[in-house]
Amino acid sequence: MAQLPQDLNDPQVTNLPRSRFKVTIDSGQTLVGSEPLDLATDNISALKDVLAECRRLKELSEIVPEVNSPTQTYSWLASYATNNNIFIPSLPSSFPDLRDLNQPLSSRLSLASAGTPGDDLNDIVLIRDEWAHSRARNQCRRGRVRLNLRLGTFNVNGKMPTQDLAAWVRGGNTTARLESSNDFLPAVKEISPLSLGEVVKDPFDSQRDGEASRSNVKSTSAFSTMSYSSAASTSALRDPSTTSTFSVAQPDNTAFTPLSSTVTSNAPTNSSISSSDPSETLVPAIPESPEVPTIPISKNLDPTESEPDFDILVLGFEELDLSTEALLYSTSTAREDAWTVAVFAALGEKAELYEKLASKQLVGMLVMVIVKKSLRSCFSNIMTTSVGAGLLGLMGNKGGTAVRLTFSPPTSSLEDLDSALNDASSIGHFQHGIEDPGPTVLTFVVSHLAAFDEMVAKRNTDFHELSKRLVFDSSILATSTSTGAVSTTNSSQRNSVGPMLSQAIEDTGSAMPGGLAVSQGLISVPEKFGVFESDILFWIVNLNYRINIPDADVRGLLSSESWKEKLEILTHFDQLKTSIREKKAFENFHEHDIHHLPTYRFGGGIATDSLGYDVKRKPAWTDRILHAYSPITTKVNQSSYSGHPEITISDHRPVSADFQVDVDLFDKDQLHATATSLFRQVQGLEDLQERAQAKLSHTSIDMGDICYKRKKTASFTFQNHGKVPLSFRFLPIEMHGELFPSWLSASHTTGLLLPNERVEIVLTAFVDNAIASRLNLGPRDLNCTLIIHTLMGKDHFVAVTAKYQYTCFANKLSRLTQLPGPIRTMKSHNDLLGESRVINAPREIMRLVNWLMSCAHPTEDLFMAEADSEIVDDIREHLDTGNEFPYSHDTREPSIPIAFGGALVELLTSLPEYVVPKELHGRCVAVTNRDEAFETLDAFPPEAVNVWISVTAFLHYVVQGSSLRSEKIAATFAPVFFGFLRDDMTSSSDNPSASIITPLGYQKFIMYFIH
Amino acid sequence: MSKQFQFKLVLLGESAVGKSSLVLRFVKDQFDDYRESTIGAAFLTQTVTLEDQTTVKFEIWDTAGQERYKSLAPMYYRNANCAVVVYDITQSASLEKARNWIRELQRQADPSIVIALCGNKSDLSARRQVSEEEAKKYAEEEGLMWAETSAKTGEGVSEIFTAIAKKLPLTAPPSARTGAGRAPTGPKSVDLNKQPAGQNSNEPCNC
Repeated sequence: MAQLPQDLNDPQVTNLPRSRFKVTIDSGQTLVGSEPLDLATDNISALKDVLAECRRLKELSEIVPEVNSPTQTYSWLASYATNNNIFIPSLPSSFPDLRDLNQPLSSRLSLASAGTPGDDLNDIVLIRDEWAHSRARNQCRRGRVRLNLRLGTFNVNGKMPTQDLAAWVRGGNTTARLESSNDFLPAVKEISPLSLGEVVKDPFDSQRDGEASRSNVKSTSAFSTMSYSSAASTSALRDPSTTSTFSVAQPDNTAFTPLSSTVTSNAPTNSSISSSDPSETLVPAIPESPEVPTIPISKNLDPTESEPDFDILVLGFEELDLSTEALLYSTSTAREDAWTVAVFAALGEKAELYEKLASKQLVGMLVMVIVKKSLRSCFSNIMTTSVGAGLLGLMGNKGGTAVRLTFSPPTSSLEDLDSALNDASSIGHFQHGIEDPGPTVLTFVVSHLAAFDEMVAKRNTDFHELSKRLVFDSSILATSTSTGAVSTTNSSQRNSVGPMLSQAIEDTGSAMPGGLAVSQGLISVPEKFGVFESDILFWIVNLNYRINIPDADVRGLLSSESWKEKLEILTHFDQLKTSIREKKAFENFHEHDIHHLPTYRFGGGIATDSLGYDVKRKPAWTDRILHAYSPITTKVNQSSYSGHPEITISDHRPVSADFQVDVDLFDKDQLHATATSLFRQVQGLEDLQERAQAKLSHTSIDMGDICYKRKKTASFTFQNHGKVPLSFRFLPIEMHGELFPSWLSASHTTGLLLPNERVEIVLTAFVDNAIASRLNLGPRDLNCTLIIHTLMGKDHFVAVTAKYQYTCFANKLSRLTQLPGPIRTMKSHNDLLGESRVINAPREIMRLVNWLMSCAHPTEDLFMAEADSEIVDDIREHLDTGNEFPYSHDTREPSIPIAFGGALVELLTSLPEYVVPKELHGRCVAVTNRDEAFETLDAFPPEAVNVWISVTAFLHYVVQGSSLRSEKIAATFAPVFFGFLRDDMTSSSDNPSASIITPLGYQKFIMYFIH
Repeated sequence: MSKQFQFKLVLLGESAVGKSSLVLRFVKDQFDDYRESTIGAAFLTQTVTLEDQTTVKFEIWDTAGQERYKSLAPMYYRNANCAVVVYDITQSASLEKARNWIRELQRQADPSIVIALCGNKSDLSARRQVSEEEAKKYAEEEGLMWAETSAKTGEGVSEIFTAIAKKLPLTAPPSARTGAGRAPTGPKSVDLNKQPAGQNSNEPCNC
């Protein structure tokens, strides 16, 4: 019977004497209740039946048809199948969800607290998967390739293309650009609201540019050599500054602006618009993956152009066809064809470079992907999908349409990478070692959501619906027939770890489900991908989100002379920005700051205001471009975001955005091999509890004095002192509690350490306004114990102590008037003055006003120019301690009075309650003359009246009768007194009628006092 | 098939009375002369088999004795079925601390908690400061179990844990765990009765 299968892990057949056969069925597991089962028989045909049945069961268990069902369907197989000792998970071939990657891993772990561990086994799986994912990526990344993308959205309102679309489609030279990377703030230029949409650099870009240039001088020069070698002579002649680029990298060389944001270190600052580090990736104190060069993907047609030609152009159209028939059936591509022709016409002489790769129309919505012909072969697995969310939740007048692309870098980029590596290094010859470049997945969604101002809740629901229902099915490939690039098959590795009945069952419970369904390579099951299963997701188009302040205010602010400054107010009340801020929709998405005018609704023949907006519809930014990306695999920079008012075909104006997306250059097989070997290193983590040993460098940390808005850090190391891998997570003390007190945060909240590895955990103390308003009322000593839980093991304690320094900022006005002296001199909260002894007005505010009043050389820029934050900090410190200001009244240095003005504004803004109580806002807005305005003050709390009178009296003195100045000052102080730019003031976005916020109304009220 | 029960046990007591040493002796039958002070809380398991073949598995939380971590202790004795409050027979102050712990447990812990008072370091009886009579009398007044142990020699260690096992209500198992292998892995599911998972891969199944 030697030919009987020995590779099944279950039946082992032994030839016994007298023609009896013994069959041993062993699950191969040490699980309880699954001891080997011995059967003996001399009936060979029955034995064959038994073995055939065993084989059938084994095959059954290997087929896992649906992602969600196997655990239920085959759970009874589990105890006969997997052997923990040889189980090595594999890198899932499907993509982790972007939404997960952008949330700290700790938020996805099981619920647990001190003394009450959660589901450690499952948590280990999550931590291990993320660890292997990001570490394998870091180890295999040889470089990055830069894709230049241009995205556009245009609600065409059923019109046909009758105008040149070049500004929108091509951007570049036809749009005014601010190139200088030295601009830290968007330049405030007085330009007509109707001028060309202006591209303003994100202030963060400039900072990043600086960092990038500093950290990446070598690859900068490598880049320029490759990209511009053919143009070297001409550009060197044309612009002497470029010459230096070829020999020495110039950080601020404007000719290479897009290049200077090439951050190649793995620093967490790499992402474009996100402000904090979203990744929870462990950064152990072991060598990080080396810096890698970034390669441009293709060369410009006209090498003298400083802006690279985009590699991918994705355009979204809405309301392409408004006819009623189109709602029911739309088979005609006439309109799509017309717009395609117009787009290619707009590309001008560059049109020959491009071809349409894919498009998908749903009634009026159309997504169109155009790529460079030279890159056509890099795109595969092109899938499209669409979902209606209009009438009955199904009709296509509203909804979404989407395209999913798999991009594999071209081999030419590998050659460039080689030369970049060699240029960057003076010694040796480097080889990238990439044979089969790994793929990156890009998804583009075009959606058109519910209309009308009050429908914001419906729009948010639409977003969540589309997120769920937009699914790509690999069996419906748009062009390519092979799923090879996405469903990375690793059957060879699979075989090497031996047959396992239910490996797939095991793994579907893990963090990245679905990956193994096709990886067996035996069966082909159609894969389904959600839109978030991508490396980068662009969500573009017509969101119909409006601005939540009265129509008159919107128009008033837009038509004011300094409209660019007012955009901050308007975008603050934009429903989409509010929804993102409040995590009601588009969580994890980024949108660049808006520096262009609202794009809707412009009249054609209907009544319009002076700016051309329809008087019946509140102007709004309805046309938007957002993105979300995987911080592990991609880096994104957005270099423009503009409206195009010169294209007047529709009642909407088109919007465009330029992105630079750096994707990893790595070898596909190497990534899998690396991940498998990483998984091998940490296998069996589950069973190791008592042997895992951790060592803390400190068990108590003194953070010292903690001051308002002054960051302070301290660190300790956490080391794996044992012989087996160790995973850890921070635990809250109470179930459902926070991991850290509000004023404290840590660089890592989860992690995995191999033996002898250690991680430096940096604690950061930071007290913002909201925190200060609580800490000011509490004890000075801020003590807490942090708990680091070793999974399946110990809880480790780290005692943190700190002393909070009270500040006069972030206190109620009434409390400031109760202080017996400067707040730092207060011994205990019992020292507060009783009701009968309170002072008239907070002495801190009076001190600031008095200093400003007696300033011998007032400046025009008071309250207008940016205050020096260091001086403001110093002024605040003197207010807190009660010490004399070290600044002379006679100073001729304008920055001093400006800083005093800044301190006054900041102090008033920091109050937990607005100077004007919320319930009086309506009354203030309603007053029609000066006397009524003064009468309103009777309703103010006494301390607020005194503050109001002294501050407005001073402002009255400052404006000196100039109506222009008083309007500017009133605009500055409206949000200060009425607090409408604070986040808590917009929480009623779902119910706009609850409190009507009218920036211009508040401004008018202030004017009664200062003008 | 024999019955199996699972209980949560917490060790409390002043710093350096030998809580971790007691656990080490009980779980691994080892002793370290020089042990570092516990900063944190260690979780270990050990199974006791009674004469009637009933097995009692203890999930033991060994806590830090230092005063600065006292505020965290309630997190560890919450839901505990039994507590071993340890004092050092050579330090009379440690019995005072033990009394405080017992008062706190009686006030704050589960009312059905079984408390054992344990005088450790009986091998150092030459330097004894706490007499057997004194401790025993106190234990009787409070209705506690009491014993003296030596983690160093092992004297009395397994006996006290076995005695606790016998005293626990073995009729109604606190945990009704059946089957083997992994705990259900539904993310974020809250099961307040759930015991820490994955400790039982080498044990007989009770199904």
